[in-house]
Amino acid sequence: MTALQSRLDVEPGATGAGPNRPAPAAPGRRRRALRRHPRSAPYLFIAPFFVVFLPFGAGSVLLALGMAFVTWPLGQAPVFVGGDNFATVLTDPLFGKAMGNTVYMLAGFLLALMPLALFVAVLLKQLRKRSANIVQVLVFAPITMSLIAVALVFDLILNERVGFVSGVLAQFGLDPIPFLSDAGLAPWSIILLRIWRVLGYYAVILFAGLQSIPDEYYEAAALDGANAWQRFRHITFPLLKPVTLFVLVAASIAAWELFAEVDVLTDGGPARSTLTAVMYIFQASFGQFDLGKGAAASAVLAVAIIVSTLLANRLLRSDDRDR
Amino acid sequence: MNTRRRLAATAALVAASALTLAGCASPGTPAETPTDNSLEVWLFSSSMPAVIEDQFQAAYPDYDVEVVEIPIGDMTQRLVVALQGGEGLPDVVQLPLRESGGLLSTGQFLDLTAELGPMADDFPDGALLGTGDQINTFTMGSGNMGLWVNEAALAKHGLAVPENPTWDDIVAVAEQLKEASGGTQYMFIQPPGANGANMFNAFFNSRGGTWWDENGELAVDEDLAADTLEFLVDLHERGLVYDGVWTEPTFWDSIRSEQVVGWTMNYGVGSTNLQKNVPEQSGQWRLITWPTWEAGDEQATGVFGGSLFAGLAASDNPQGVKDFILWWLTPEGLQATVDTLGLVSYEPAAEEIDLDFEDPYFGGQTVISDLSSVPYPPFYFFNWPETEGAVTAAVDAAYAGTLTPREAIDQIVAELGSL
Repeated sequence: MTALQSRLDVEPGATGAGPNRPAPAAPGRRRRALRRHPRSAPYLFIAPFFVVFLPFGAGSVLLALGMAFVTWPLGQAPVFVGGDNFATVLTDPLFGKAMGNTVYMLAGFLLALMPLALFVAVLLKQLRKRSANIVQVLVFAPITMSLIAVALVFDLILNERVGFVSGVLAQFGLDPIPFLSDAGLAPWSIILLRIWRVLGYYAVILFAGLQSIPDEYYEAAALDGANAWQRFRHITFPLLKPVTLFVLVAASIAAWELFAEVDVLTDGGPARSTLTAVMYIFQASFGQFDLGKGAAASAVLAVAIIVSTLLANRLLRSDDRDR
Repeated sequence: MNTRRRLAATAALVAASALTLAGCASPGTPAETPTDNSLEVWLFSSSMPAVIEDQFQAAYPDYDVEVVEIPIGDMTQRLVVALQGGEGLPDVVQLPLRESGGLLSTGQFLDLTAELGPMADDFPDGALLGTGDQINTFTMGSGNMGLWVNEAALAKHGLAVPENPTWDDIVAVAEQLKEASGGTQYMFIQPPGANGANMFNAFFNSRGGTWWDENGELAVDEDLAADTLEFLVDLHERGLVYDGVWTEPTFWDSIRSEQVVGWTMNYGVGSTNLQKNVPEQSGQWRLITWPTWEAGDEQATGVFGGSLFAGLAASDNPQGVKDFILWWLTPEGLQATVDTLGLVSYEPAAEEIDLDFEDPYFGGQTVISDLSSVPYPPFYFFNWPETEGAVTAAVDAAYAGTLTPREAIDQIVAELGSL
């Protein structure tokens, strides 16, 4: 028996036990202890996360939920008001406007992001490994940049008067485009910034998903005469669904919480066309000092996020269940 | 599930619940109670710490002053969190003037009525700030607006602003400048967003306008507001304005290249930033105190910004707070205000310190006393986040042409009336 084998308390020649394989024969009380508590190790590994998350994450969520049912004047004790804050928020035209803007920008963002990210992922798959690695780094780079710095640069690019795009248009004798000062264009400018920044991140995730699809499937399909679209439709897309669902959910949650880009580029304008739900929450909490109203708006937003996530999950998984 | 596993699951659930509830708990008493002679001051003006640590400490050596610099954009948020949590509060906080209406009305600030009430006649209307019958503080670094003009740039086209101009005179010069420069130089700026709204508010205020009265009641003269907005929209339509904001580096490129040769702004932002960002243009700029709307009118300006120091009612050192705030009305404090913020609202200041000093950047003009000599009518910052938001949205729409000036004002009034 080697030293390692004796430390593992495993007989020579034994291959070791896994969760779904029968435990190998091993002498002594240690073996019996392992048999009684084979699952304790994973919990020990995840415990540190929960030690931090529970008080600072879940605890904060519970506190915020509690604040939604009180009015809490600055420096005074909170007073229970039942559902008044929710009624105020749900009947506030400004909240409706903020949620509407958020949904509009969310939809535009996802409709543009998903096909683009998939397209980039498919392109990455066509490259040789070394080239793919280099391109991956390049497309992933924007997500590592400071969001504020990126927003400021986009401001300089899109500024109607002094922006780079306006300068190029002027060279051709064209009028500048009011990317940030037109109520119709400003939301799409925000979407453009967001897509530029996160496209590579989600494309890399989808690329990883594509790589997990065995090449044999494509070879077999090619042998059967399937064209590129058919291979995509019948092999790539179905097998990529779990990863696609993750990307859709992650991207939509981030889009629901849109704040920093809007705060830097447009401050919710022009004419509140880019006012988002999180901006409304921030203004209610720290502008109007109405933490109860802000907390109630947060709860409504959380419900909207959960519902949209469940819908996305149901949509993408319904096909699998029907088979 | 066997007993051991059930026990383990129960223990885990109890531990998880305890950890979660710990996150909801309010903080306990602080480990260290501040001593009575300590003073914690939160401020955003970066030029003030040195003045406080040197001059205020020299006047009150027994106080242990700790100055905490917080960016202006974070100040209100930090204070709100501290007030709600009941912990980590300063003794004194510097606040933007625009936050005065909302924060002072919470009743969380030290009452200085006994100290400042007898001095009410020494301040212009609206400069003493508080809520109800209580006076909490006074305006510092008053945001009296002026028109800063690059006379040298105008002179290149043979143009000049007449003495004691009206706004019609200024617009006439702006039109001539547009023609002479081929539409590349401007006498007016119109920033987007909240800055644009506050610029409109300044013009509106200069005509006696205000959204709220001293009791927080809606008190807007809608016709005056619509007429003022129409004036500004008209400037925009005639191509006389530069759409930009002074916080952008491109704005200062435009100043440097003499694309912007006129700028309506207060002392703190205008004069200070001109001298800092374009020192090479020293001697080229002049302050025009706020033009009148009609020839022969009494001169009045509008307010754009300002700040204040307010003491927290929960301070452990209320005497220290009073000493700190009132120190700024001493000759040393008034001089420190001029050195750091610019203008003072305390009218006897002219008798106690020299406000007539000549500023070489402006060709020897006595900028401080000139600006101070033109006060702004009372303007009250109640419900300011809602007001600023409503004005911003409506003014943006008016400049974009989607609302007429009258419709924009009606929209604002409708929104504010529902508060």
